[in-house]
Amino acid sequence: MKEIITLTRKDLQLLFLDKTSLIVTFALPVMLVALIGTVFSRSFPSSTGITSYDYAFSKVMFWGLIGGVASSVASLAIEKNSGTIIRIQLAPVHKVHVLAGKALACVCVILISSLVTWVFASVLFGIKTASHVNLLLICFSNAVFFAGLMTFLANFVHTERAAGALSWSVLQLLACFSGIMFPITLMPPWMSNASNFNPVTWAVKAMETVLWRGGTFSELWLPVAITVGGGVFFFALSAYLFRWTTQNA
Amino acid sequence: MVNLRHVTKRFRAKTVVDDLSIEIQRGELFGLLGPNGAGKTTTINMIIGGLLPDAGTVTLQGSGSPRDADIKRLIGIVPQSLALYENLTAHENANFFGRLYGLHGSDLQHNIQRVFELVNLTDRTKDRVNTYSGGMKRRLNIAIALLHNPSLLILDEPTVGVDPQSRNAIFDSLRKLKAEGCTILLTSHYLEEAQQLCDAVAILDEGKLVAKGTVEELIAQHGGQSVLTVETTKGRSRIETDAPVDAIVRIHAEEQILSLKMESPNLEKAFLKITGKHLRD
Repeated sequence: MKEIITLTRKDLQLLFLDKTSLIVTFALPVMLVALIGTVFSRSFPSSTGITSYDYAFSKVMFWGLIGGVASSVASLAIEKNSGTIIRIQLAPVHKVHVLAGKALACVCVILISSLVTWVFASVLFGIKTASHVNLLLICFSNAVFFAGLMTFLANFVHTERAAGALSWSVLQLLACFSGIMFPITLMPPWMSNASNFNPVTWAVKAMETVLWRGGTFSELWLPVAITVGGGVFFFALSAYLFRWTTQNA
Repeated sequence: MVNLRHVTKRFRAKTVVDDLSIEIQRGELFGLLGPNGAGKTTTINMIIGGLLPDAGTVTLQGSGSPRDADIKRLIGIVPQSLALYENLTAHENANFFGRLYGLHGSDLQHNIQRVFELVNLTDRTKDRVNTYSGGMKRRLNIAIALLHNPSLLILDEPTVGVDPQSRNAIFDSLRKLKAEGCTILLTSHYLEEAQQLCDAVAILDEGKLVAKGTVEELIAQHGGQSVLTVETTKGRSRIETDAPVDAIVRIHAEEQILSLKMESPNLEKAFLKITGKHLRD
């Protein structure tokens, strides 16, 4: 466990030293909530019980997370192709430790990003929740899913640019099938059915439930199980696929 | 300390290392020399367990496999590419890699201080690595590899792109380590550097071992004769001889020497004779 914490600390340290990553990970979500909340501000009469910013927050938060996921994918891809991986490989750590360190750093980044977005959104736009504990639970389960997905995607890229491109492409595709881009009720039946197999759909549903109604355990256990299960599945798959990069010259 | 027996490694159809057998004794400073593509880095990767040979065996410390956790702890690696986080300070880099080896607290800080002193970097440890010169980065690259007190230090081209001052600092560090009993394996493009530092060398060419032995043996066998260029009152002459001192004494007895230049046999000449090409070809 010490090795994982050491690897996580180093990744967080590097992230906080990178201004671009900081802006993409922490400032972008707040800006998106403000912009999209403003666009929808006339669509939500007060009788509905939720504001346009509540609506924007539940969905836009995921766009904000893409930045954190993309920078984590890049971090792992770059590490695998730099000299540092040779030292790490030679140190008494297992490949699962390396992946777990990266994944834990990604979970921390997503949680901090969610927290920052939440604090700003609640102060600036009055977004509320009936249960902060449930909100934290959903943020955590979403973070586990995205961290698992991040470790999986990192197996297929070798450069920072490719990491960004792949992360955005995959997450946009998942967003299309999740109700983030357009409501599930507007989807054709096949697409609506397919969205049930997308963990992001459940992540959005859970976030809406927590923000709009507070949510009970019976409402939340299934989305939490699906997102956490999805994250663990992708992590296990990436542990299987992971290869130490070696020079061949 | 390190034993390679009939090791072969192929990448698809290409044989990169071909039936290589070398033995590195404990406390020895061993040079693995050869032009680009000779198989040096692949050989190192097999020694550290990053690659498995297709044939033959690699053993360390008698019969240990490079992939054993206990054996891995004995090895310090200085890769050709800088294995450093450039946005972190030297001290933060050392802290991170030290902790990966299970070092903590005062032990870790003591080791960090020791390795920074060894490579003469104590005054810049709080600076970010991206503010360092190329030579300082190379020295830090070496320092990090020494944090856990390895008994085998492997350096892949440690002086590439390094200014003469840093190169001398690196040489001094390696000599100190050797004096402390550390076994050192280094690859290098610079034969004069290998000649200065190494006890023994192996020369690889296109994956094959073409010569091995002590530096003195290789120079004696393949380095040719000393070349004297002598200018006297009677004119200029070039003499190839195995006994240059005797030749100088003889000339001096017969004529007045105005200028004298002597080229001794060296590893560069031996390499040229053995492989038929210069190392940088």
